[in-house]
This record gives sequence, structure tokens and C-alpha cells, in this order.
Amino acid sequence: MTDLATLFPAGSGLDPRRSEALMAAQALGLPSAQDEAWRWSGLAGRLAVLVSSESSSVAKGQGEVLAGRQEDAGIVLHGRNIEKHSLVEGLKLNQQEVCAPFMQLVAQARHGEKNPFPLVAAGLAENSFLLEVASGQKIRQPQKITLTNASTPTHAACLVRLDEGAELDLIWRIAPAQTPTAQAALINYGLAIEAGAGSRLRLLLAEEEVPDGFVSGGLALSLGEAAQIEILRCGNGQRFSRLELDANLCGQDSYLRFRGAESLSDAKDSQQSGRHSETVLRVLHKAVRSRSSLLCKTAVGSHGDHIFQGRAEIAEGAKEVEAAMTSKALLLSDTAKSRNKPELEICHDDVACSHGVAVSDLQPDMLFYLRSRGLDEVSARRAVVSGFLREAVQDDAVLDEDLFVQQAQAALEASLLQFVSSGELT
Amino acid sequence: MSKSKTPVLEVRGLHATVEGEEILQGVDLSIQAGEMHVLMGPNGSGKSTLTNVLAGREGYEITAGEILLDGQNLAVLSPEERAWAGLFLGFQYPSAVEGLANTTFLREVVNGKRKREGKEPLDPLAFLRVLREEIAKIPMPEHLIRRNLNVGFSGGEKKLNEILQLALLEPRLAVLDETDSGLDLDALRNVASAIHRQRTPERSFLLITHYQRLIGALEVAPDRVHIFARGKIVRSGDAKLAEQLEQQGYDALISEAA
Ligand SMILES: Nc1ncnc2c1ncn2[C@@H]1O[C@H](COP(=O)(O)OP(=O)(O)OP(=O)(O)O)[C@@H](O)[C@H]1O
Ligand SMILES: [Mg+2]
Repeated sequence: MTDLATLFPAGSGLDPRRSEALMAAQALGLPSAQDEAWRWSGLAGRLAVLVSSESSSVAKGQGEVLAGRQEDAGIVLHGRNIEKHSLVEGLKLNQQEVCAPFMQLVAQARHGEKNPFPLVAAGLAENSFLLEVASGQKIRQPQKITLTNASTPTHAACLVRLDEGAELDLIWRIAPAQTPTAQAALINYGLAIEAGAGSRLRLLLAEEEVPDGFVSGGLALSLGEAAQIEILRCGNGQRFSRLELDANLCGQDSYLRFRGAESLSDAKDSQQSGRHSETVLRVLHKAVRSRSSLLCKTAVGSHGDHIFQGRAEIAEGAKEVEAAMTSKALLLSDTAKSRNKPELEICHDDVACSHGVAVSDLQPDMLFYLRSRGLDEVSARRAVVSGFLREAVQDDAVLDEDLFVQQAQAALEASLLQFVSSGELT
Repeated sequence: MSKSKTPVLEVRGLHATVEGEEILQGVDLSIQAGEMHVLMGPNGSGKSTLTNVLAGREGYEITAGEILLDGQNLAVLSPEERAWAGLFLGFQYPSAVEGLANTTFLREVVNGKRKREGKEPLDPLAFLRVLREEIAKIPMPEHLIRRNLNVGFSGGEKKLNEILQLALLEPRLAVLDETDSGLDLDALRNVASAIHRQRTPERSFLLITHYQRLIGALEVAPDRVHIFARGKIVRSGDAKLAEQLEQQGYDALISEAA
């Protein structure tokens, strides 16, 4: 197999810390099907096609973004490429500080699992940056960061640091290039989040459809005392998408909530049909009364391939922990695939844990019921699929004036439209 | 009622199979505009099968005979086209759809109907007013419309939701399959009067029930009572037949007919 160093060479322009991150990634090496977490998402034949021919343009891509010339690619905050100044009061952007703490966080979060991609992102990111919300600051305006697909790989690394009592709404968006690119390309991001005591983060991961996209996302979370992180992921399907999340609930009474609503529809152009999506969630409860609630809902089209691997680990001494993990998949055709592996590791009794998996088809009874009320077949299917996905967000207190909630709903609608436009509901 | 008019529902010599097994074995039934017919029969005799064949459920195959709604052949229509033609089926076991808000669903249903009638769709607020009026008439607890479609509804609550849909859809023919089963005594009276309120000179009803008490709770006695056994109607009469049935049981009446 191709090795990382040839895929992602350390360019001469990298500062020492970024080189360090890249070296660490190279030391890990590329995961293979032998690595448990990658057994269903082997990279053989996938990654090489995407990036090997592009390796020389990695540096070029960076140069362009740094020089501010590339409009369609890179990281955009509030419609502008990120610069070294604060756009909102209380929010600090800093590109220099990222690598070391990022590496540390990524390293902390791994339970000996092999995923070099976030480190590659930290090393090669065209714009790696720190979003810092100072103690007690509450940022009301959702901060939106967009990663666009381009013909060259896009690497992004971001460290979000919430100091004590800080609050932030963050929208992390993967979007296709405005001018469609000729080729598939990699979007690789690492997002490390340090949530300080009593802080609160709401994060919307909005993955729009990039028909040929290859997306790798790595999230490393660390939650302090009574910190809260709520993540909503709305995915429209890429050709290959893998999200790996590692959460450390280090503080007492910390809370992690993850909700996924994903549509793996068939691509519009029949040549590239098929969507592969893997979600790996690992939660480590280290502290007393820490809570986690994970729910992934995935609607899988006829060429869709869905994988969920979840693992909740409860450390010794972490009493009164609540951990719930559920994956539900709705298969829209006989050829749709869903594989689920939830795991629980508990060192003692004083915990309330549950995990579950439900894989179902579109129920003919349900469709018949809706059609008997005059909904045509497509509308009936749409109603069932939409209801299925909506369950992921339903227990949210919906405040219409809440910008974040509006964005989340828009992202959800977009993933539904995916099925309608691909004609898969007919 | 003049018998010269085209009946609302005309079922002739209907045979149907489910998974290769013949369940309906020659059903004949004719319902005129404004009439209410009651269908009673032992468990497993094929009553729900008849409703499914009428409504066009997948897997139910008509092997002989025909079904006409206002003279129109239903067999060639999809379930939704049958609904558009004016058929409403109140399910014995209504489905639940998670994540689909009852109000959203009902509004889609009502606006779909309005669109076919060339009317403007109702916006959410206007629809909510209509909905509130209808649930007050039944009456049905208001919190049920804020829940997801039949999700977590009790047996009786599901039936009330069926009655609500009947009221909103204003069909030509309402086939209600054991809408009274699972209702408490008050709810049964309410449903009986809701059904009565839905009666118009144009609208016809086919009520399927096991109990004389629904019939007794109706303000106006049904026009006909039919006894269904082994896949067909074996006896028909007026409302007295239901009372007789209550006293003697199916065995006596069916063997008498045979
Ligand atoms: N989908 C099916 N597959 C196999 N058999 C079926 C199916 N649906 C109905 N049947 C059979 O057809 C027969 C008639 O069933 P049906 O539900 O129509 O009875 P019913 O008269 O409505 O009874 P009840 O009073 O209990 O509701 C039964 O023997 C039943 O098992
Ligand atoms: Mg029945």
C-alpha cells in the first residue's frame, strides 16, 4: 500500500510544528483493513486514486490560499478567508498556536486507535487556526466555517477552546465547489475541542453533497466539569465519508449529545453511484455523573453503504454515569447496506448504560396507510424518510428565532431533498 | 332511497386471494348514497380483507368480480387514486410514523385534497383553526395533534385520530373497520355521535363492528346489517339482525343461513 509520506509529503514551507504533526502522522502510518476501526472502510484503492496524482499540487494549493488567490477552495469564515484577526468580539483566531495543543488533544483522545488523518490535517492545513472564546463570553451569532471541495486536497485543522463558562454556536460546513471540479478530491479536517468548566458548545456539522467527495473528519473532544457539547450532524452523502469522534468526558457532570441525520442517496450521475459512510464514535467517561447520549439515524439508498461503530467506555471510579448509544438505519432498497457495531465497556456497576441498533425497511403498511389518505407514493415515502431523519432533532427545544436551529433545520431539509432529487423515492 | 340511482359502492361476485389463499369468496354488496351499512362477522371471516381489497393494499389480489365506486372501477386504481375518488378507510390497526408530526401530516392531507378541488392551500395558522374546531367536535384531546402520527397513541386514541381524518377528508364512502374496538364507554358514545354528524345525503358508510353497542349508540339506526362468514355475506337484514346476533351468536345465524 502507498505510504503516507508519498501521499502527503511535508512541504518545505511548513513550520517545525506542522512538520512535527505530519511526522507523527507518518509514524502512525496509513490504517489498513487489519485495524479494527477501519475494517469496513479500507483505503486500499480509494485514497491513492484521489491524491497520489495530486501530491505535487498540495504545496501549490497551500500557496494559493495563503496568497489569497484561490477563491473556491480553502476555509471561509463569514465569507472571507480566515485572517489573523478577530471577527467577533470575544472570539480569537490564531493560526500559530494550533499545532501543539491540537496534537496533544488528538493524542489524548485516541485510545490507541489509528487515524493519522487529523494529524495530516494539522500538518498540512492551509489555514490551521484556533477559535478561542474567553471566559464567560457568550457568542450569540453562530460562527460558520465552510470547507469547499476543490481539485486539490483541502486540509483543515481547528482547535476550539472554550474557557470557563464560555458559549459558542459553531457551524462546520462541507460544501461542493461553486464551479464543479473535474475530479474527486479529499476534504480532510481535524477539529479538536476543549470545553472548559461550565462551557457550552453547539456544533452543527453540515456535510452537503459532494458527489465525488472523499471526506475524512476527525473530532477530538475534551469536556471539563459541567461542560456541555451538543453536536448535530446532517450529512448528504459523499462518495466516501468517514467521521471519527473521540470524546473524553473528564469533568464531573459533563454532557455530550450527538445526533446524526444522514442520507446516503444515490448520486445523480449514475457513473458515480454509491455512498459509503462510516461513523465511529468513541466516548470515554472518566468522571462522576458524566453523561453521553448518541443517536445516529441514517437513510440508506440502493447503493449506500452505512457503517456505525460506537464504543462507550466507563472508567473505574466514574460513578453515576449515564451513557446511551443508538444507531438506526432505514434501508430504502434490498441492496442498501448497514453494518452496526455498538460496544460497551464498563468497569463497575453504578452506571446507566444502553445501546441499541435498529435496521429496518420502508414498511409497506406505513406507506399504504399514508397513501390511503391521498398522499401519492413519492410523498408517502418522503414523509416516512423525513420523519425517520427528523427524529434525530426532534427532542431539541425548537426556538424559531434561534439562528442555529434554523440552520440545522435547513441542513436537514437539504439532506431530504437529496432523496427527492435522486429519484429514489419513486 | 331510490334503487334506480347508481350506488355509491357496488361489489359484485368479488373473490380475492392473500398470499395465494382465497379469502374473499364471492362478496356482493351494494350501498346507496346516504346509506349506512353494518358488517359483522366472526374473527378471521375476511372483513378486514374486504376493506384492504377495497383500498388497494399490496398483496391482495382480485381473482374474480368487480368493485365500483360511483360506477368507477376501483381495481385499476392505486391506493391514493381510490382516496381521491372518495374512498376513506378507517383502519382496524392504524400505522404509526415516527418523526411525522400529526398536524404536518393532516395539513398535507387536507391541502392535497384542496388542491385537487382547485382551492387555495391553508397556511399553518388557518389549518390549525380548522383542526381545533374539528377536534373540539369529536372531542379528542388536543395534545394528540401535537404528537407524531399515532406514535405512542393508545388503541382508543388511534381510533379518535381516524375519526378526525374522516371529518377532515369528507369522503364519499367511509369504511370504518372496528373503529369502536378499544374505546371506553364515553369515547364510544362520542365516536358514535361523530359518525352520525358526518352523515350527509351523499355520503355512505360501511361500519365493521363486533358489537351491538355501537349500533345502539347511533342516533339513527343503520339501513342494513350484513353477516359476513367464510369470505362472503351470508345474511342481510335491518338493525334487528344485530340484536338477534347479540342474543344468539354467530353459529346459530350462520348455520341457519347455510
Ligand atoms: N397478509 C395476510 N397473510 C396471510 N393471511 C392473511 C393475511 N391477511 C389476512 N389473512 C387471513 O385471512 C383471514 C381473514 O382475515 P381478516 O383480517 O380479513 O379477518 P377479520 O374478519 O377482519 O377478523 P377480525 O374480526 O379478527 O378482525 C384470516 O384467516 C387471516 O389469517
Ligand atoms: Mg378485522
